[in-house]
Amino acid sequence: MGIVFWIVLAPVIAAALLAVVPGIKPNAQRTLGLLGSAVSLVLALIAWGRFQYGTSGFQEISRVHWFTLPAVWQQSDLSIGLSFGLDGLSLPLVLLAAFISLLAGLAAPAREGRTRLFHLWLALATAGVLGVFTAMDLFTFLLALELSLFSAFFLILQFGEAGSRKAAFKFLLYRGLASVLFLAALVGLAYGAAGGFGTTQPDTQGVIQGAGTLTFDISALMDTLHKASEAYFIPHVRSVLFLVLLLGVLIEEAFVPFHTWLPTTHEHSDPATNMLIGGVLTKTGAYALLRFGVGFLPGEVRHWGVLIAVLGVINILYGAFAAWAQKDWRRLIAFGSISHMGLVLLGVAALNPAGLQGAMFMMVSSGLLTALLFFLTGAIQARTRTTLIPALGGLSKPMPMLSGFLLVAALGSLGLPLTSGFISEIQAFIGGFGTYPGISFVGVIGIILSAVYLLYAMERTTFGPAKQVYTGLADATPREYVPTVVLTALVLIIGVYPGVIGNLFGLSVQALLRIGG
Amino acid sequence: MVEYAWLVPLLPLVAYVFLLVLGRRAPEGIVAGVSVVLTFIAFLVSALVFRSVGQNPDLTGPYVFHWLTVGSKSLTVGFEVTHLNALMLVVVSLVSTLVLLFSKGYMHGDDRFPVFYQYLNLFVFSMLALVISPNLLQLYIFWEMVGLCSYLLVGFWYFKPEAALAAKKSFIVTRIGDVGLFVGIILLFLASGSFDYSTIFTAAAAGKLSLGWISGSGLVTLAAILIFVGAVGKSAQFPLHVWLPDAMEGPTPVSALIHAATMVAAGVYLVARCYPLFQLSPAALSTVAWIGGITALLAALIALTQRDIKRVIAYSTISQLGYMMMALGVGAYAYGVFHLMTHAFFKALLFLAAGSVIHAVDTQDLFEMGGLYRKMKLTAWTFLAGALALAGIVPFAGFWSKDDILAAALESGHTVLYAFGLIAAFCTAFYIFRVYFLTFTGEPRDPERYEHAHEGSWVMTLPLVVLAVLATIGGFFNTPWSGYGLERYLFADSPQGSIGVTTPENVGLMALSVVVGLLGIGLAALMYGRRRRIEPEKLARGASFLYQLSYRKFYLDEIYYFVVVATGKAIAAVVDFVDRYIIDGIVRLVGWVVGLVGTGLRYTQTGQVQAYTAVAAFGVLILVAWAMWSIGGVL
Repeated sequence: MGIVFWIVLAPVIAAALLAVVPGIKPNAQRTLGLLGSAVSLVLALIAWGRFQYGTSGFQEISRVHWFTLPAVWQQSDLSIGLSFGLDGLSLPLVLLAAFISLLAGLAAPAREGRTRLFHLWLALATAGVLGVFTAMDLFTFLLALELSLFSAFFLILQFGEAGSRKAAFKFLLYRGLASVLFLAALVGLAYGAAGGFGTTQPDTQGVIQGAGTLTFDISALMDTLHKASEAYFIPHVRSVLFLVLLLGVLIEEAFVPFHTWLPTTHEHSDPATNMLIGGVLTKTGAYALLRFGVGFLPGEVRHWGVLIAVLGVINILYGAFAAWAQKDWRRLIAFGSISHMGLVLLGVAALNPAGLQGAMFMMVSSGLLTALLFFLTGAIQARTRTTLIPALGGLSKPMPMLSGFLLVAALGSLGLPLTSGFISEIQAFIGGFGTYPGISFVGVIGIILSAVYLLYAMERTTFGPAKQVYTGLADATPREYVPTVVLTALVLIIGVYPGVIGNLFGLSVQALLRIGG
Repeated sequence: MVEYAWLVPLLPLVAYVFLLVLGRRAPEGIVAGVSVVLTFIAFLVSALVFRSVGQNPDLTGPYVFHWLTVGSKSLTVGFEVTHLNALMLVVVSLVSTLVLLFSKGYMHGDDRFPVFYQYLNLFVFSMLALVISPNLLQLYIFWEMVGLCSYLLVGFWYFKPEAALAAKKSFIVTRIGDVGLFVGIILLFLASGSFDYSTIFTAAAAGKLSLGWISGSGLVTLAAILIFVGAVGKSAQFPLHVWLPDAMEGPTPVSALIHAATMVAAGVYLVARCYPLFQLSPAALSTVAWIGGITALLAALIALTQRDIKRVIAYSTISQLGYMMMALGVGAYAYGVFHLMTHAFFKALLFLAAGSVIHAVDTQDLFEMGGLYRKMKLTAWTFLAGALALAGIVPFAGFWSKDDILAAALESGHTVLYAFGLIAAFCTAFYIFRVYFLTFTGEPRDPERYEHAHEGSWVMTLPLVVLAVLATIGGFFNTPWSGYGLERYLFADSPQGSIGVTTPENVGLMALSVVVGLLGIGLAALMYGRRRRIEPEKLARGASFLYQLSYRKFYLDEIYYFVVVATGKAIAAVVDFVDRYIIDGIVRLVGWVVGLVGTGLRYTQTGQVQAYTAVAAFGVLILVAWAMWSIGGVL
């Protein structure tokens, strides 16, 4: 069993220990939970150090065979089990997930009698997303997605504020529906790749290669589908499967008009949960779009490109305008995140290296910045008892450091150069203008709007005369500096030297495009 | 020496990092001392670079390193030295050094004195790095960084609501322009495969720039105009000029450095740096010329009636930047750059002198000043030098550069623009001497403030003197007596001498400019001088409409508010409404219907976590089972 297996398993072990070991103190419970994420992070960093930059396929492959279904489809066996691996697309997101889970655990306050449960669910959710990003077969992917879904559900339900119950069920229903759509689309694709929907034409040798071999293996499916996806599908079936997948992505990723669960969830969850959801869980849909949409059906992505690009721009603008109207920082961050992820759609629709690379950068960048914003507004909330923008003001006086970091996070989110936000934006737009100049011209208005809504919020939060009620409130504590400084540093490092992660996915992105032909 | 030019931006960066490490409690002397010394060394290095470029016109470089791979393209960062940016390095580092010194006195006693110096050093670094960038991407990066520093410094007194609003406004309005630049450089990158100036210009000159959806020449025009949109935002040109007067909420040294001498000139620098592209598009050049001319006139008209000393000078800056753009637009490349240089000196001087006054009387209202000559002789004399330079009176620096621009406008056939420039020149002379008379001559209007007024310490007066000298003699750099040194220097970049036109000295036009300037000064003297003949109040009442038009800044702020800001807010409100009540309403409706159907299942909601867990786990099992069954069915 390889290193990636342990990356995913470490939080599961921590969760299991939390569940069964009796009589440990809250601090020890917290430490145990953190230890799980910390092991994942260290192992992920080791995997990064060993990463082979020269290849685009999966590395560090770990397979655990569970059982075999004999002769399930045209006399061939189907192996069911867990298989994990890393490639250029997954490693950056694994690192992101491991970092943010650990920092979310650090950020979580001690809870009377409930520390154990919180860290248990957090560890399971972490294992879930790590599994999603490292899954090498469809079974593992779907299983991990379910794990993250219900763990996060309990985090929202049990640790949120008033109204969190409704938010939790909204979250569960939406993302549950997305999972079902993923399941349908992915199993359908595997079935189709095995020739299950019939074929239209054989290849040049007159042989239908791969037909009859049913597999859930993602690399094998990529090979089969890219070689002759024309041949293995009746076009309408392929389109339908793609649209089902796309619908799943739109719901999973909270794209307009399937987005209302995200602001509601963020509004009612505690900061640590928000960091995890906003930072990591809202990247799984975009990952699925890259991995399965572009990876399996590039022809369909190209065919529906205008639709995807227009959806992307609608999200950019809708999210930005909606963010402008928000009174609550948490809803503002949620809509800002929707706006950012709209740019991911535009980059993917472009189907060129800059666009896909921009999409990858944006996923990482948006994850870091969303987590940072939720952490900082959470820290402010812990002092002022509110995240309502009109109630805040003049915070630079009592808490200059928190205010300063909040400004950095806002500037990163509005895409200021030398932050990760800019690198993402410019590449996604280079990609967008390369393929859809007209649509992209409309999309750049989002760059102005992001400055508008973030600086409006900043002006009302940290600027202005100091309010009487907030005098004497303490600035950041040493414990709060850890997540703040780590996330800020990552945002700046990627902004100053983007190659630090860009080198990871450069080849993988090109491999996706080779498939696209 | 050229290969060490990277030291120039590095030194202020070192100062910034050093101050960051020292923290917010560092003593003022060390903070200011380190900043001034390092920036002064940067100035010395710049001067050496400038000399070495002059001696050896065959430039090497650019010096670049790999930064990021995008597909098959390698993006690079690094630095380059050209004749244009060698001059810019000298101007920027010199003015920066003087302003950093002046700030020691001006900001003395401020709670956040070290923070102020941190921001200023970050600005100086970013500005120098912008100038020395070898490609458009890196330029854009630092273009935004200087904008950030401007935002931070305008909002430095964050507790003042006006400062907070002004900071936000400055960032957002310039960002509208920045988006133009952003798209422009992306299109150029897509068409040429590179952000490098030389690659793009070579391809453009060879007619090799093209994208599928636009013709080659159309693309050049589009890209040039988009780049110019960026310059319009940064250099506060009409219609995006509205942020600069508000930016005067920042401390006055900031106004002198960022909002007069350096950052706002970055737009002019950008157009100058991309001149080979603009020259390929008559439409783009014409746009530049007209926007510049309109801005020069409009801002000068507004400056006539403002009551706030800093706002008068701010509108003056907008107007002068308009002259520079006009020069570039009519093809007078060297004169635009020449005026950029002289303006940097005399406008920084005017702002610092105004700062010295504000420091002394603690007000910015011209009508609360008066008679300060007796208390602040040095400030008054240096301000006078700056005012004469701005008014274009021979032989002060502004005369030579402004006169060159006007002559070039006429020479190139832009008669209307020449007229705009001449009218603006009259206004310029009037408004700046209105300030001079109201501030320094006559009787004190506020005796209490007058009582407390006094000259600042040497850290404040020395920069004034140095800049006054430059404002007086800086123009000789490009006169017959120096053999048109600047033109020859700048044109060394293009062996064919094709980069812009020059005009022979025209004594008649020169005389006309001086007469117009003197008339403006004379009118100011008649209205505000010791022996006033014309009552300004009567005039204002008599021409009430025109007075209000000027005083209310042509109502542009109000128009923008209702047309742009209110529309944006309305859209945001509509989107929010749609989101809460329509989209989420449908969601709730669906949920309600489903709920109705599922009333019978309500008993399953026990509220017990364990039960939910079990259900969820069971769900996963069913999913697995279904997957297996759908595949081959072992169950």
